[in-house]
Parts: sequence; structure tokens; C-alpha cells
Amino acid sequence: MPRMVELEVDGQTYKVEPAEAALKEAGKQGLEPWGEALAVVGSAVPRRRGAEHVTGQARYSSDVQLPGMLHARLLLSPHAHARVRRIDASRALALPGVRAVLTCLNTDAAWDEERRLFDHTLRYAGQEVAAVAAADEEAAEEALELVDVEYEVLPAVLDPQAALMADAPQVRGEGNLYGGKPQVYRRGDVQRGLASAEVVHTQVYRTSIQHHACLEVHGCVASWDAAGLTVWDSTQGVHLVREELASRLKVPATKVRVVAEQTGGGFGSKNGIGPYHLVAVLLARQTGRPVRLFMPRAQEFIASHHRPATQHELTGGVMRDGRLMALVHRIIGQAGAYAENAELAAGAYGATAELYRCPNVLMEAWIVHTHTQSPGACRGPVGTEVHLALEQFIDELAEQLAMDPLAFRVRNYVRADQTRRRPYSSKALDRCYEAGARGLGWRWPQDPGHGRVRRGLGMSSIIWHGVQSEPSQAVATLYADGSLQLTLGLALIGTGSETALVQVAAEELGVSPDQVSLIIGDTRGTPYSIDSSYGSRTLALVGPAVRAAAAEVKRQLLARVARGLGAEPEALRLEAGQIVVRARLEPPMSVAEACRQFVSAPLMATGRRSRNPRGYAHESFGAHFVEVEVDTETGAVRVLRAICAHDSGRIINRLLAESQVQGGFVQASGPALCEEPWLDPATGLQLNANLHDYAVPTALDVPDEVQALLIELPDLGNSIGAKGLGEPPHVGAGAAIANAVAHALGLRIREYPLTRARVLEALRSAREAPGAREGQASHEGI
Amino acid sequence: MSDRKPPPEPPLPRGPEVTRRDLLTGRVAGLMLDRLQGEEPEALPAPPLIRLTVNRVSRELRVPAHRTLAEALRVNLGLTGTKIGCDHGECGACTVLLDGLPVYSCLTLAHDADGRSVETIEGLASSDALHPLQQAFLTYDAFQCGFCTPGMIMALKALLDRRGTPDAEEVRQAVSGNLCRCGNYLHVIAAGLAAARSLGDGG
Ligand code: FES
Ligand code: FES
Repeated sequence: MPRMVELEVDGQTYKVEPAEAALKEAGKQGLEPWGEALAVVGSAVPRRRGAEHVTGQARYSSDVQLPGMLHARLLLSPHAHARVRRIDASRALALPGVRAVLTCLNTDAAWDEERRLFDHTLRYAGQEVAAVAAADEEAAEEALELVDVEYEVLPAVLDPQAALMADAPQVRGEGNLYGGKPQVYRRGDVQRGLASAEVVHTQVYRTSIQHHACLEVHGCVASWDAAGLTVWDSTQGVHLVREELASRLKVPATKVRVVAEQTGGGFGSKNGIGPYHLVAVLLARQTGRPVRLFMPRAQEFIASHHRPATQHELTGGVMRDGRLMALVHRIIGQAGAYAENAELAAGAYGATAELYRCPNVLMEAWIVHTHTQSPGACRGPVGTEVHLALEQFIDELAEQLAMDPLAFRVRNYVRADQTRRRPYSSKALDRCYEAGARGLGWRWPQDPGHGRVRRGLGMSSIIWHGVQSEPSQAVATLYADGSLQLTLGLALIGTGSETALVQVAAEELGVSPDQVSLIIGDTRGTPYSIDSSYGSRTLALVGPAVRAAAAEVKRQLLARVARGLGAEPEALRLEAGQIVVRARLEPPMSVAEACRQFVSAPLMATGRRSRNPRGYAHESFGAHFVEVEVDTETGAVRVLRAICAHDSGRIINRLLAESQVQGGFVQASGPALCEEPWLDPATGLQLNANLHDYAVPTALDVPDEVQALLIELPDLGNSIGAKGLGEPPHVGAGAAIANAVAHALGLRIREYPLTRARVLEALRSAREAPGAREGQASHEGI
Repeated sequence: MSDRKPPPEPPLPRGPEVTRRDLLTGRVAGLMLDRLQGEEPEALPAPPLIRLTVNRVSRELRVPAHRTLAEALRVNLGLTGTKIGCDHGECGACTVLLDGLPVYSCLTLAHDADGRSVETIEGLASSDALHPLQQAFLTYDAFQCGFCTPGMIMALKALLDRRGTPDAEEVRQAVSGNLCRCGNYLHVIAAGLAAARSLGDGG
């Protein structure tokens, strides 16, 4: 049992394992924590494989073309709830070039324990009804229209509130509340907390569906040969896709190869397999040809998962001095018909329970079945919605007390995790507040002006779960010419983790990143580095494995040099890329030189991630500060500047980290300001299933400045000191923008996105409200 | 995920449809069976011929009348650097230059490009050097997943060809029809301005 020591945080004593001891002991890797002055880690190394991207050579799975390849298309349900009465595929099959049509009549394959791949009963608009494979895209498209389906339309319920009514159509015949009761988190006694509070306030917020809208649509190419199945997939993780395909098809994992050289965006939507994978695989098996199935954009919207729409009712109790006494947070989320990812519909965990010191907390997550597609992970799932509501509510509580919202947050700062009763392995949220406020020029009270265009400042805190102990492996091979090859079971999805991992290896071995090459994006020949890149965990999970692998080849190299020179291995050190022998006159020697002299057969090592030290909670933190401008005549909101301060541990590559922060902020401004699907209440079909009307942010919508302030406090949780940075920027941006809009207008709109129509409507009702005076920013909620 | 099967559902009344199983069990014979088994050569007539100058090389290709330029580049010529993000003129991933002007190649029929000159991302670098735009995209990390990158670069190429020294607003406008879901617009704008500077310096 490792030695535990006592750690005091905010007057509480916790038992933890000293981090360095854990690092050294676990895996016996002999790793020392990195010091301050690092050669490669922290520098702006250009993105790996960048040249392929800018020359058009990067190969995405949607670029794969194989001899004899067929093209497949899906027929999707046009109804939210229907029964297939009759299907006639004969006209489609008779079309020249058509090779196969799959329907519920000829395909019995199960999708999961609840439904077949093609079911007779359809429970959301977008569910698979049939599939065709044809010689080219055009024929496949035409054939789809020739599949005659007769539907019996059944009553549907699309709205979760309506679904909870007694007379609502039953989505699953067992009540529409998932699990029969809400999920609950409770701490202390909220009734007592609210009773003791001097001010009690309640508000309701609504958030909209967000689509991932990856620029590369979902899809894959499947091909069978004597060796088994190969799938080129647009995915975030090759190993998870392989696992899931092997288990569905009941074939050994060794007979399935999954390749993803480059993936054109995922944002949570491309983890594991969807029905379309199975369709492509079955069509390929049946026709004996490779089959390509990539969804048209309109289908992509409805056939893939999304961030669910949610409703949040928040009640808070505070003392006049700013102390938070109680928080009650009731969330209603939409699980869809099949609840494939019910935990992503809503959850009784996260920011409300953790972000502020509060003795009494009650969270309830009501997860409701509706005749809609299941939600899925979408960059910062659950957390993005919770922050959008909570972080505005915190602002409103501060308003109730006439307190600066930043000061109110600082007043309730907490240094340890109240939900698990553990200290954090690192937390620099206070430094994020300071740096962000300084960067933006935060001031309170604000003066939004009285003209047509008003300005406002807003801020939001961010908490996002960190990496727990999970196994990860990486392989390093050092060649006689001094070049290092890293073999990683990862997909390249654009986060830049692979570049940072190259830097980690280069740092440990004392070589330049140019000497390191990557084998990646394929299950064949790669170790299980990660199942799939989700949860902002690739770098903090795989990084330590890479470092361990590099450290082990370094140890082997030093042993060879020592033997060659007749020195004791302990006398050798690798410093700043040079091998030095203590108390000897040999000149320092570079790694490449040492390899040339002393390495004949390549040195190879598998590095394993050691577990996290015991007793800590691991979280990433941040704070966003923005300035917006609102045109009160057009309702247009423009973000002028965003200062995004992040505590994500050690930053391995500043340039790429900056891209992550900017991208996350810009993407999150979508659901805050403009992205919203229009659902036809009669059919459940999305009327704006295209990239024009479903308005994702464009170059014209981004602020002139999105500044990433990377507060570097190396984390104690792992050997590279990094924490996640993929999702945190997405989690906090929306609330910061919405708070700024509220401060600019002196009124708050609690339904998102804040489209022009909503802004104008809110201004109109404020004008018409009794006692309202034009131009008076009252800073009271309406 | 479980291996359990979903509960059985009552059978549908069978329509007159034809399934592969029907064919294989002999319910329908003849030509169709051959076709489904993949033996018979496709009896489709040869599509008409067009001539394009692609990246300064003259190419002849047979393209069905309704195929887009984007598909023709990708499928007929294997130039998959041109991406398709929507196929409906909404995202700009398929931007190429047609006689020097930026077009959405997914909205352009291949036959409409007959006899004209097309420039794609694959034709931008010379044999020994990247185009300044390509270099700037690397330096400024102007992409993440890279799927929008070829279209972004071609849209900016059109701008820089037309206007040597654009300001930030012109660069922003030039890529306003190109979506980047990874949200890297600010780095794209910075890269566009840097490339313009380096072209202006004769570089
Ligand atoms: S693919 Fe042509 S504009 Fe989207
Ligand atoms: S880099 Fe991914 S869409 Fe632009």
C-alpha cells in the first residue's frame, strides 16, 4: 500500500498519496517530474501532417476509393412514430447499377437488444428504414426514391414536458420517464439552507438542440476479404470501432481492421459505431464488393446524435454578504426513443454541485423519452448546458445582492471537491479569474450606454472533469540513425494531440521533434492507446504512456553507451539532448551520435500509463470574459472580444492549444447565438437540415480577438502535468456571452440561442411591460 | 452493449417486392440474378467526354451529364483534395478556381466546365516549394481537422490573385462562404494576411 500523507485544504484534512511517489513507484519508470526549463514541451511546434492538409494530400476515409466499390444510401423514416405496413423494393432493384436493397423484410440483424437494424416500428424521424447499394452515387440516390414504403403514422410526442403528462403517447410502453424516477444528487439539506438564506431566487432557462455538423459527414467504407473485415471510418477512435464491430458481428477482434488516417471533425459524434456502420458492413458482405456509405448532409443532421434540448429550473439561497447557502437545480433532458446515451440527456452531477462552496445542494435530472433521436456526446456534453444555465443564474444571484458577479464568484471559491471530499490535483481557477478580468478590463458596475447599440461585459467560470486512472499504451522504437518512431492507437481528429505527443517523446529522449515520426490511425499494428478520443483526455491519458515508452528506450540507449564506454550506467545522464558521462573526459554526445555508435538493432519499448496518485479529484478549470455589442434595432449580437483563461495544467504546445481555445469558443457561440434546428411539430422532421439555415458561426461572426490565456500550473495527476483542454473552452463560452448580453440590455433572455428574433421580442415586451422606461438599464431580470 | 436480440415482431404482410433472398432461392431468375451476384459487366452506356485543363494539365474524362465538377475531380481524376461537406453550396469545402474565379464545385456541373481551366489545391505548390498561403496556414495553425482547408486556401488564392494587399475585412469576406466547424477562423484570417504580405514582398 502506498504511503499516504495528510493534506490540509481550507481547514479540512485529506489523506492523499504524495504525487511524486506515485509517479515513481507505479510502473517503476524512474520518471522525474519535469522541471521548468523544457526544450520541446511548451514550444509552438507546427502541427504534424500539416503539409498533407495544405496540399490536399491528407487522406480522409471519405476519400477512400477502392476497385469495384459500391455506393450505399440510407432511407430514413420521415415520421416521428410510424409502423411500416408494406415495403416494395422491386422497382429499386430493377434499376441498372443497383446491387442490393436491405429492408426489414430481408434483414434480421439486430442493432441492439431493443431493435433491429431495420425495424417495423419507427420511433424517431431519421430512423433507418432501408438501404441500397449501387454502382455509383447517382444510381443509389435514384434507387432510394424507388423503394415504396407504406407507413401507418402513429401518435408521437416530441416535447419532454408534454411527454410527462398522464395522457401522453407512451414512447416505450413503460412510462416516459427514463428509469421511472429522476436521478438525484444531494448534499446537506436544501430546505434548511433556503430557510436560512436572506435572499432566495428562482429562474428557468432553456437550451436548444445543437448539432455537431462536422464538416466531414459520418460514414465509412467497408470491405471483406480472406483476412476479414476492413473499415475505413470517419471516427474519433479506431480501437473502439473495432471492438464494437467485432462484438456485433461476433467475429474475433483480430479479424477486424479499422483505419482512420484523418477525420474531418468529431466533437463527440464519432465514437464507436452507428447503424450505418453495420449497414455498410452487411452490404459489403452480401455483395462481395467494398461498400462506401457516407451520409448526405441532410441525413447527417437527423440520423446522427445531437446535444439535447434541456430545461433548467434553478433556485438559490444567499446571504447579504454573498455567501451561497443552497442550490436546487432541476434539469429536464431528452433521452430520445431509445435512450442510447441517457446519461448525456441530463445528469445530476457537475458544475452545480462542485463549482462553488455551498453546503446544501440538490440536483435532479429528469430524463424523458420522446419520439426523437437519442442525444449523444457533443463537445462538453451536459456540462455545456449546465454552465449555460448555472453560470447565468450565478450572475442573477449576484444581481439580487447588487454585487459584482466576479466578486460573488470569488466570495464562494472552493479549493477542494465537495462532491467526493477530495483535494484537487491542481486548481488555478483563481488565477484564471485574475488574468481574465485584467485581460478584458473587467469593471463593475457597467455602463451599457443609451444609444441604439449597447455594450456589455460578461463572464463565466468553467469546470470540466479530468482524466482518471485508465490504462494506455504507446510503443517507441529508436533506430540506429537516431530517428524515433511512435506507434499509437489513436485517430487524428484535429485536436493536435498527436503533435503534442511527439513533443512529449522528443523532450524525454532529448531529440528534436523532426526526428520523431508517427504510426497512427489504424488498429493494425498499433497498441491500445485509447478506445476513442473523447472527454478531453487523449493528451493526459496517452501522454504519460508516450513518456514512459521514450524513457525506457532512453534507458536502453544509456545502458548501451555505458557498456560501450566501459562506464557505469549511473554515471550517464542525458541533459539538453546531450549524453554526458560524469567524471570522465568524453565530450558530450548527441542521441543521434550515440545511436550511430552504439545501436545496431533498433531499441523498442512499450510504455504504459501509470495510475493517478490516490486521493485527489482531477478537474480542468477556466474563466471566460467577453465584451459584446447588441443592436437594439436589429437584435443582432456581436461578440467583440473574448479573453479565455484556462487552467489545463502544463501546456505542451501553445500554438495548438490556442487553436483549441479559439475553436471551442467559436463553436460554443453557435448554440448561444445562432444555431437552432427547426422541428416540424407534426412530423418531428428537421426543416432546416442544411448548413445554410442551421446557422453555424462563419468567419463573419467571430470576434476580432479570442485570446487564450493559458495559466500553467503543472498538474500532479500524471507524469506530463497536462489536463484536458478540448471541451473546457466550449463549456463556458455560451454563458459568458449570454451574461454580457444581459448586462448590455439590462434584461435577461432565458431561452437560447439568443437569435435576433428573441432579442427583439424581449426588448418589445420590456417596453410594453408596465412601468418600463425606455433606455433605463435596470439590471433586473424580466 | 448487449448481444441479446430484440423481441420478435409480427410479420409484415408480404408485398410483391423482390429481395436478394428471393432471387437466390429462384423466385426471380435471369438477368437480375446475374447482376446481383456481381458477375455481369454494367450495361450502362459510356458517358460523354469532356476536356478540362486541371492544374495546367489537359485532361479528358467521361462524365455522366449530371455529375458535379466536385465528383468528377474526386472520382474520375482521384483529386480528393477537393472536399465535399454538403454537396449543396452551403459550406465551401469544395471551392476550386474555374478560369481563375472561385466556385463551389459541388454546384458546378462537370460538363459546364468543359473546355475551361480548373485549379485545385493539388496544383498550388510548385515542385520545390509550398505556395505562401500553404506556408502561412502551417505557420499560423490555420486548421484543426483540416477538412475545410483546401476550400479555404482556394478561396483565399482567388482573393490574393485579384487583390494583392487585402485588409483583414477583405480576407474575412473572402472566406465567409467557407465554414470551419473547428472554428479556426481567426488563424485563417491571420494566415491570409501573412500570405498576402509575403507575396507582396516578392516571396
Ligand atoms: S460541398 Fe460544395 S459548398 Fe459544401
Ligand atoms: S479545420 Fe475542421 S472544419 Fe476547419
